[in-house]
Amino acid sequence: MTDEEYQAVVGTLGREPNRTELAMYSVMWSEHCSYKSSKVHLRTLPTEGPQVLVGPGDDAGVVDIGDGMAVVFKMESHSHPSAIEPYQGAATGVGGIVRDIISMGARPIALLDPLRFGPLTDERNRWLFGGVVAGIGGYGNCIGVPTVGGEIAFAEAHSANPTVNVMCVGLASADGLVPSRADGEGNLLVLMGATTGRDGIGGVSVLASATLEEGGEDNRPSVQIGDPFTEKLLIEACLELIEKGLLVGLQDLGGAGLTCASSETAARAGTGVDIDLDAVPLREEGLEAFEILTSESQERMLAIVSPEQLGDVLNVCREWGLHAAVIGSVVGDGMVTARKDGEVVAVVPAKSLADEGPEYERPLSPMPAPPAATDPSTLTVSLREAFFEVLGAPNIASKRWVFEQYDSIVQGGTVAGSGGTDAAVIRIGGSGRAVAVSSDGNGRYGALDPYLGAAHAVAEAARNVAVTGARPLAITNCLNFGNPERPEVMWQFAESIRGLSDACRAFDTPVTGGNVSFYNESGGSAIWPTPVIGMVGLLEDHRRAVPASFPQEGLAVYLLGETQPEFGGSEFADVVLEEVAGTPPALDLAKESALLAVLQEAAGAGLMASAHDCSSGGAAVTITEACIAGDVGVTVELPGDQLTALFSESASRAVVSVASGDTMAFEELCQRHGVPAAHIGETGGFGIAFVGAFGVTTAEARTTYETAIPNLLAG
Amino acid sequence: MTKVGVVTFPGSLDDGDAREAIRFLGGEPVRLWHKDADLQDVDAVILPGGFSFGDYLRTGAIARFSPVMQGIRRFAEAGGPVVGICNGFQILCESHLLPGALIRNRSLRFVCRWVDIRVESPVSPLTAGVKTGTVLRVPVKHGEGQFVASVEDLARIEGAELVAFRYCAPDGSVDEVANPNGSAGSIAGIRNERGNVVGLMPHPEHAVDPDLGPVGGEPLLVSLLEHCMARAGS
Amino acid sequence: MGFAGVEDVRVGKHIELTIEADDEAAALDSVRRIAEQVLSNPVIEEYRILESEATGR
Repeated sequence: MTDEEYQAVVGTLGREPNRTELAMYSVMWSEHCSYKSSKVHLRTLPTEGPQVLVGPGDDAGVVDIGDGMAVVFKMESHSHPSAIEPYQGAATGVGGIVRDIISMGARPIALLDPLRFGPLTDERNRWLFGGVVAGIGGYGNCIGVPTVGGEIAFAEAHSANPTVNVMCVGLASADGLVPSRADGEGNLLVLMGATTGRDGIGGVSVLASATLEEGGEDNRPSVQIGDPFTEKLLIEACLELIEKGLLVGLQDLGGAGLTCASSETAARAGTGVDIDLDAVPLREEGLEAFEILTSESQERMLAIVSPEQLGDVLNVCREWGLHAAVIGSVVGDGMVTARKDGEVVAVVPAKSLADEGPEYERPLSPMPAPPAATDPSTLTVSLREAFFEVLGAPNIASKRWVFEQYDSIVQGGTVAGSGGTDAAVIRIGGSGRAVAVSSDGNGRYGALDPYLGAAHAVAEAARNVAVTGARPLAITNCLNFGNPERPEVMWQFAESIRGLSDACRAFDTPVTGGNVSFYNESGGSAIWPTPVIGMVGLLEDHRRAVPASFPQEGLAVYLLGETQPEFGGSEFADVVLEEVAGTPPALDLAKESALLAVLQEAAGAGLMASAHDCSSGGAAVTITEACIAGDVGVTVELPGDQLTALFSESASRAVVSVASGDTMAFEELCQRHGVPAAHIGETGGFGIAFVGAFGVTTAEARTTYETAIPNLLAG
Repeated sequence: MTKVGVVTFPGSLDDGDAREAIRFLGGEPVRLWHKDADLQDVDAVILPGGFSFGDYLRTGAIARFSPVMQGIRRFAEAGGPVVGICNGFQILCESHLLPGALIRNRSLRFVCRWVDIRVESPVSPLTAGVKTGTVLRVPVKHGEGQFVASVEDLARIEGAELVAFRYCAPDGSVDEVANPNGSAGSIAGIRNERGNVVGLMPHPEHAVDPDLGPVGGEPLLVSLLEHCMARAGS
Repeated sequence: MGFAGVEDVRVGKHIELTIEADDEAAALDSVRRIAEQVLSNPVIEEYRILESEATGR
């Protein structure tokens, strides 16, 4: 805490804070909890729309999907703890985001985990990668929530600081949402779930509010330990309490623990809370007041309950074998008052802790222009060699090794899960509807141009949702950046926000919330500016969900969109030219919107047998993936210069297969929306033939695609 | 209508999916709570997948002491059909209702994957209505699914034809490539000698709805329902 | 990982029980029964009871 921040506390209290109060302020006013560097920029994001039921500022965003149902979703970072202790760091990230969803009154129905690591040729990166994946699986697989997606990328800039984001999607009835508010003087605060210990005192809030330097392993005790079994009981008990209408309010305990949960719920309701710290069930004896107030022990929820319903609440908890203790009550004075051993140990205004944290307009300074790109036509390798290099690049190659460690089918709703799909499709039991969910980000584009990088991330997320036939509804995000006190990083952040805003406005997909993760750097070297977008879309009929893979032979194959020679930040440039240079592909938001409209309409009319987003790696990769996943060959003739046709990453494109009887209607639809549709070939045959360039067998393509990551992990 | 009880332990995960599958196939699912020894006159019992009681000591080790397991033991002794899926299979082994045990996958990693299994014996409620040798596509998802048993037990299991399912290639041939967890003899599921208790690691309840993927679990659960009806009729 | 010379690895669980009993023999007897019936699965595990210590409660 800075001197000015300390003086602000003294001004508010009219006196010096005691040690306990100071601890409460320092966690609540940390970068992680207060968003002090990002707030001024976040305010410029579009957050409203008829579909938005709850926007930023609550535990999670909520959108209306019709029929009285609502989708609740949120993304968060757990990069800092994962860099120190990958298994537990990632596991507790999953636990935290799931509780955010429950606290809105929703059942968690899907998890996605966008991850970034350094190259797998390095042993420490392999350790981090393996640990994070095992932690996500170890926790997610035990709580009965399917893990259905999340993209994975590798870049040297993420070697010291891996990026571990977690996203959860939940389902609630629109009128059954539970407010995260401590309303009603005299109501009781019930702490449910795990006991409170010393683990993770100031964990996330402290770790995520400064850079990790050498010897960061000393911070291990700050990383919390997850108990997924207790989380599962919490899920079931909370959902039963909600269903029975027994709760006034509900909030999870995450960063800044009890201090955050109590002050935020009170501040939202304009009330205060009086907490008896002696009533908090402890894991060990002798915890001090500030430790109980700031502990980030996992698997805890704070319920606000009326005295008449307390008995019923405690019964539900008992039936599930869950601890539950009354630790205080709602009061009218607007203060968070904490007592221990019969004495008042802290009295601070709830609003001051939760809402009146500092806010900075930090200086911005543009980063230097990136180096100029090499002209790819000077290339000496053959197209065929380049193809196998790109297909076997870790960013492109199959992530089977990862997604097979995740239970993607529990809950019986996964129409399309991990692997071979652009977006996961989860049907909503009984209604016939489904939600499509995708997470996207492109580190290289962001490194070259943070504005375009962010806009591309939104566009790709929208496209990934739309290729399934779904209508993109809204986004959440996790904004991963370096140290905000450096003007270059803050400029990257501001540019990213500008890109996010423009794209979200163009696609009418408002921002419903998210998370900012700063200080992802060590030794002055920051991660690439990495805004990760989590997009949710709606499919009216899950049986109309369009697969990404070619389903059969004899289909007409179309390439939608325009292809220009655009190699800046491409996978081809990275692995063949070995550079991240130049400018990323241009993005025309109007053209992208037209493509999104074509995809949704065509899916709704049943005109598409398959549709696959064309992005990283270019058309060659898109077509090959559709063949491998469908186990079907293809013969295509791509127009124009073959290098560009195969590997350029021009935006707003998709590869679609269409049954012969539907081609006229499909072409007419594309024409109506002004989307160029090139009929490039047919599915069928033994291999993948790029006429005018080269051909490969599906088997050899599959081998390269499937073995790249296992081979790297074998060392 | 055939009533199939599905047990919910704290930490059960696929209990809802098992109930849904039974309903989808025309049976009547009944939720059985782990604290109740009374099985509510069900015709069959399914112990579903999950991590009962967190499985922190050993998979299935605590669940077997639940009151409901006393009821299930009596039910099984009376010849009632009992099916253990994944964690349910682990619980049946821990309860000594089936021989052997399930340990960590040979890869030491959790595996969620669609596999093929071959029906090896018609003597079980899941396979009575399925031709031996039939190959079915079903998913597995487990971290501890490697079936092991002592040399004597394995000999007895094989000798008495207690193997109900083996992992196999799509053409039905059994080889190590098709074995997702390193199980002895590629064993995916076994039955007891009487033939009324059967356990398997794959999840038939996740393979009945064509909207979600292959339907290799359908014939197995249909067999269970028909077997119950035949028992009720006799 | 750069650790040479490791020839074999055994992993186990260390479980401490505090037993109320009339004497050490009775306590050991309960520990043995608990170890056999709950804490270990004889198909895949073996157990050893290491030492006992009277607390005098």
